[in-house]
Amino acid sequence: MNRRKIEIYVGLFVIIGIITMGYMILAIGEFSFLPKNQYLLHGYFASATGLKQGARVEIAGVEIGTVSNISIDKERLVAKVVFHINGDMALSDDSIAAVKTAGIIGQKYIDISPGGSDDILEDGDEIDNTESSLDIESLVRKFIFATDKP
Amino acid sequence: MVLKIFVPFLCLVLGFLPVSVGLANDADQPGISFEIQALDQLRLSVDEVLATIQDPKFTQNPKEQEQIFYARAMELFDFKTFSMLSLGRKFRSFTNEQKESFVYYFSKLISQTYFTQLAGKDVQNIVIKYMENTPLKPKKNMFRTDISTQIAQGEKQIQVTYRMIKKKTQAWKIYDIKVAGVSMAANYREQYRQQISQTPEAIITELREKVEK
Repeated sequence: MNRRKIEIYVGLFVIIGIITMGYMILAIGEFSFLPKNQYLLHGYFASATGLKQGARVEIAGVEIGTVSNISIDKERLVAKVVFHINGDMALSDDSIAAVKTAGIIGQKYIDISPGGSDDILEDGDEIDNTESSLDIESLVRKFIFATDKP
Repeated sequence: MVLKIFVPFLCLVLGFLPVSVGLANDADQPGISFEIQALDQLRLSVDEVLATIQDPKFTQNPKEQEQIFYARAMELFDFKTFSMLSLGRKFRSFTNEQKESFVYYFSKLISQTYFTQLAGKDVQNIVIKYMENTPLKPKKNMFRTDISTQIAQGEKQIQVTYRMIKKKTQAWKIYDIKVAGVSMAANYREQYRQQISQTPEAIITELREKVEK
């Protein structure tokens, strides 16, 4: 009888352990079973260097969405970036999306500069006004060659 | 070195050419896409503006040259769209009268600023290559296209993209210019965005003072 009790306690302990571990994995990985009210937008960038899936999409430093996919447009050979935007965030069609860096060597994120148009972007729409990430190497190269007089 | 300073200004003034001339007729021609018309007109405009810049009749009279460029700028730039893009969300807080005032002084400022930089510069060995014409998805009877060019003077090169718009029966007009990937409108918007508490009246007053200085 005693042995049976011990086995039950061990079993319960293992089950609780597995549930706790599962919860922690989901919490740390920021998974959610609840579908969020979001919509998808995309934009084309000449360069998306350093931008990662899951990167923040911000307005005035406040997160309003995340980057959900980065791929190459095989026809134009530019980066296609897809982002989820929170459903309560209405963006006008002349908004500007720019790839920026948090701090000097921080992570890349998308900064949205809201526009003044009355036309609102809807699910699946494209942000036409985009600015690529700053390429320090090419800037340095331009500077060197601009000052390199024969 | 001259190119570095001068190309962005040239890019702007190149847009001051009569892109609209003949467009109404071209638009009716079957088989010619809107985007090709935009490219053809831009190409024609570039040739004409280079000739205007070098024309001794105008170079001897900078005031007259400035007036001609301004008149063409009004015809060829969609300054309303350009202004709206530059102001961003602030544009909504402007009344219709304030919007008109802003567009007026903004166009004056752009014309004056870039003209003074271009006057007297040597443009003879400037070479312009038309690289790509990328139409954007049309919306509400509005067509847009991005025309990429490469402007070279000697060994120095710079990439310039003209963003053009055609609204209904209106001619193709330039609403933004990207120099080396940096948008002029976005640059202005960033500046206005920093001035959170500035009222529309204060913005217009600041612009007017710059223009009348």
